[in-house]
Parts: sequence; structure tokens; C-alpha cells
Amino acid sequence: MGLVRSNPIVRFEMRRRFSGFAAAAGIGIAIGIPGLAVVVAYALTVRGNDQFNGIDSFNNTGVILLTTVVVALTGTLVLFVPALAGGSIASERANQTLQPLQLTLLRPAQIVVGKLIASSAYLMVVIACALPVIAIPYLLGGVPVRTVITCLIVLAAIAIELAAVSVWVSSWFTKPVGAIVTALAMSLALCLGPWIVAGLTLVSQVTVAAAESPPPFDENAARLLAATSPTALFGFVDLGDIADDDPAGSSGRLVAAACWLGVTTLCIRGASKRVVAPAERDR
Amino acid sequence: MIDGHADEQQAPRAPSDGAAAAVSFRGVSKVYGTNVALNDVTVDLPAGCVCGLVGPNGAGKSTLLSIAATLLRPTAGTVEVFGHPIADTAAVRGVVGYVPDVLGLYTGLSVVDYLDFFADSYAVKADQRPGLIDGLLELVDLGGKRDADVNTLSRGMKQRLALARGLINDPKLLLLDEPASGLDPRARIELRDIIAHLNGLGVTIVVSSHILAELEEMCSHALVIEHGRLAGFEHLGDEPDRVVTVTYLDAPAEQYRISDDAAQAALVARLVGEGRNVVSVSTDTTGLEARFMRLTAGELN
Ligand SMILES: Nc1ncnc2c1ncn2[C@@H]1O[C@H](COP(=O)(O)OP(=O)(O)OP(=O)(O)O)[C@@H](O)[C@H]1O
Ligand SMILES: [Mg+2]
Repeated sequence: MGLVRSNPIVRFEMRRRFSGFAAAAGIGIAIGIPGLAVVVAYALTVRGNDQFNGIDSFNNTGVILLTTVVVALTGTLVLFVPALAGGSIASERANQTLQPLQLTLLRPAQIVVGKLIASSAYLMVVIACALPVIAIPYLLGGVPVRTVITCLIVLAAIAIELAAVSVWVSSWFTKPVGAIVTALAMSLALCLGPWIVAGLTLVSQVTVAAAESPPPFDENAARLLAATSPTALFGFVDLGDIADDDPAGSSGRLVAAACWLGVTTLCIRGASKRVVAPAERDR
Repeated sequence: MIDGHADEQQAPRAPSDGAAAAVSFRGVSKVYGTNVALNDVTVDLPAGCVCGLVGPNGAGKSTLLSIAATLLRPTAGTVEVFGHPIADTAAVRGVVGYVPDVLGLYTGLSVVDYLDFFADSYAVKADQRPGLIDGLLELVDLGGKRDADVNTLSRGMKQRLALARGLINDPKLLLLDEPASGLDPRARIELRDIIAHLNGLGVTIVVSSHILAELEEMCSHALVIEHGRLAGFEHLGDEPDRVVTVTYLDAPAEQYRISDDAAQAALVARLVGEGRNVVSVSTDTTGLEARFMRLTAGELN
């Protein structure tokens, strides 16, 4: 509990996070990119609207717009979060401010969680600021509020996981630049890697299935693989059309949630071990 | 100064009464790869002392201080701070203040906010922090810079801010790594006054430097290390080893051991009063510098 409440690092980092030009610029970027994407998508979909309208349980334009906004926001987060959180511990090392911190009564986990909370809080504000853009599919496309809210929650969860990974990467570095670049690579690998591997698995299975007469085709393995990506959390979003109550869908969601929890806690624990003074390592 | 030390010169490694030791190093070694930074250092620093830690660059001064501050673990040997083994980091950190040679200050916030954050991190209650911080700022003479951005402070002011940070947990032992580096002569004198003041309040202080003259004026003890080895540890000040050579017009020169200026003046008055034809009275330097040279030269033999 002391990790969150009465944690001096939280207060201290919040103040630094939410001040200055960078804080405002970050919010601008996070609204600008999805905003632009939604405008383009709207312009493209409105034309062909008549052909598709009325097929699904709710307006197709809405689904397309929502997907566009959410994909754009996720992409922004994947690039933005490492830049935001990747320097958090490495820069303390670079500025030699970590030693004085290590000597205080703060526990290493408090330092790590404090930094994570401050970064996440800023990201929540960024996501909240993107709310008007997310509201466009709701207003124009008739997407239910419930769906929009689930999307917001999933975006927040992705942001937190990526922040935790970035802080963990940061704890291994002594220079912020190296940490940020590595965190960026990790972030991309974590979000896209499982999909690529899953895709390759499917392709190879299809190839094998085509060669043999009784097809040992099993798309569940690929699905579960893909579910390890934080983006698989979007499986929780109800798009109405695809009846997602098949067993693979729910086990995929379970895997996605478990992976989110596992990666986040492991990163916090790993970073905490790296933040202690050298005298306390490996003890 | 609370101190029951006899002459340490003959046996620099002899442990003194353990109970009174602020820091006790026993066979402490620190090896980085193949580089031996500290080699079997055994010494007790008595509580209440101001101990100068002297040695050339790379001697292992910072390493020794980092170990006592619980940042580094020795490769071999044991260290106790006021009876707490350094592995008990929580207990040791509660009584130690450490100001490293790199100041490591956060920028972009005010002096008072900076100290408030550290007070908070040492679990000082919110209602006690303003009083504590005001007292510290006054002590280090930064009262006028309360609301200044840490960035805008001069080097000397940053040094004093780091000192205030090191004092925020009201330590019994203060470890200062080259606190005088980058300070102008006036700031050095002020630093010396602060150290004397804190020592008067009962704080044991270990201060490293290679500016020997600075240490001599403020230290009760000197600890010399060279190439990671303890080259000497001694009590400064009260030993009567000032040797005065008196030459006469009509007699062979004589040597006297005296303790201080007053005794020397009395000696001259007595000799002149006895009607002897004193030509010159010269004092051998017995200062830290001379001893440092002697100690390190002795070690090299
Ligand atoms: N992190 C480290 N890794 C490897 N070697 C180190 C490390 N820190 C110190 N050393 C080595 O240990 C020895 C002692 O270093 P230390 O910094 O303790 O010396 P010092 O007496 O403080 O020197 P200075 O007067 O220059 O500050 C040196 O040879 C140094 O190269
Ligand atoms: Mg040093």
C-alpha cells in the first residue's frame, strides 16, 4: 500500500511529468495523430457508406472509425510510451541522482512504482485528452458507449504495460538514449511480435495442411500466441458483429489478461532489483 | 573531542576500544575485476572525531566512504557503523549522512522543494519538514536561496545544498567525499566552520580530500591511504612532538620537544632569562603535510 499512497516519488515525479513544454507537446501529439487518422478514415468511408450500412448490429461507419482511432492511438502509444518512460531510471544514473535516492528509506519498489504511476498518470491524461477524437465514432457512427469505454480501458492497460516494460528496460541502462531506443524496440516487439509469429504459424500450418490429406489445421495455437501481445486486450471490446463467444475467443482473452498482469508485475520486480545499491544486489 | 586514543603511530592497525568506534573497518578489501581498490584495511574511527581521509588520486578514498555508506559491499572484511554491520542497511542508513563527490542534484525545482522531497523520502513528517529545512538552510547559509531553482546555484551553493541533503536524517556520522573541491577560499573557510559546528553537536565526520592544509585545520584524526592500503592513522593535535631546535652563539644547538606556541614562547623567555645567547629558534614541521609525506614514504619502503 505504501507503494502507492504516501510515496514521495509519486508526488515528486508527477510534478516533473506535468510541467513544462514537453508535457503539453506530448498531449498535442497524442490527439493530433489519431485526429488526423479519423478525419482521413471518415472522408474515405462516408462515400462507400450506403453499400455497407445496416449489415451489422450497429453502424459500419462507426466500427471503421472506431478501429481507425484506436489503431492510431495504439500506434502512438507504442512509440510514445518508451520515449516517455524509457529514460526514467537511466537518466537518474546519468545525472548521478540515484545514489542519494538509494540511501533514503525509500524501498526500490517504491522508486519503480512511483515512476510508473507518474508516467501512467500522464498517459491517462493523454488518453483522456484524446477523448473527443474517440467520441467521433460514437457521435457519427452510433457505436455504443460501452464499446467506447472498453476501448479506453484497454488503451490505458496497454499504456501501463508498455510503461512498465520501458521502466524495466531503463533500469538496465546508464544512459537515457540507449534505454529509450531499446525500450522502443521492446515495445514494438511486444505488440507486433506475437502477431507476426502467430501469422507465420498459421501460414506454415496452412502449407502443411495443403500438402497432407487429413488437415491437422489448428488455428487456436496461433490465436493464443497472438494473445500474448498487449494489443490482444482489444479482444475484450465488443464489436457486436463478430459473435465472440467461441471458446478460443474467451481463452484468448484470458491469455491476454494473464500476460498483461505477468509482464507488468515482472517488469516492476525486475526493475526494483536493478534499482538497489550495488551492495544489496544478488542478496 | 571525546577521544581516548593513545599514540596510534606505532601501531596504526591496533583496534581501539570498539564500543566508542563510529566506524570500524576490519580487514576490508574491495576488488574491481583485477583492480584492488582497497587492500585489507583495518581501522577504528572513534566517535566524535573529525577524521581526514587523505590519499592521492585512486587511493581508494571514495571506495572506502561508499562502503561505509552502504552503497558498495566489500569483497572481503567487515564494517560496522555504530555497532551495526553494514549489511543491516536500514540501521546504518538511519545514522549515516553521505555527500558523494558528484553532487547528483535534481534540476528544475526549487531548493526548498528539493530538500522537502528528501525529507519526505526519509519519512520526516509533513508538519516537521518546514522547520527542519529552514534550520538546514540556515546552517549551510542558503536561506536566501530557498526558492531559487537548483539549476541557478553556483558550484559552492550546490555543494552546500548537497551537504544539507546529507544532514536531513540527522546523522550521527557524516561522510563527506571531497567537499572542498571547486570551492573558493572563502567557501572553504565556511565549510570548515560548518564542520566544526556539526562536530560540536556531536556528529562524527569523515572528510576526504587531497588538500592537506584544509584537513589539518579541521581534523582531529588523519587516515592516510595509498594504493588501497592503510598507510597511517593518527590523532592530530595533542601529541607533544613539535621539535624545536635552538642554536646558540657560544654553545652547541639543542632540541626541545614542546606542545604548542605558548610553550615555545615560554621556552624562549626562559632561555633568554637564563642569559643564554640564543641565535635562532626553528620548528620542524609536524603538520599533516609533513606527516603525510613521512607516512606515505614509510609505506613505500
Ligand atoms: N566502479 C569502478 N569500477 C572499476 N574500478 C573502480 C571503480 N571505482 C573505482 N575504481 C578503482 O578503484 C580505485 C580506487 O578508486 P577511488 O575512487 O576509491 O579513489 P579515490 O581515492 O577516491 O580517488 P580520487 O582522489 O581521484 O577521488 C581506483 O584505482 C579506481 O580506478
Ligand atoms: Mg574519490
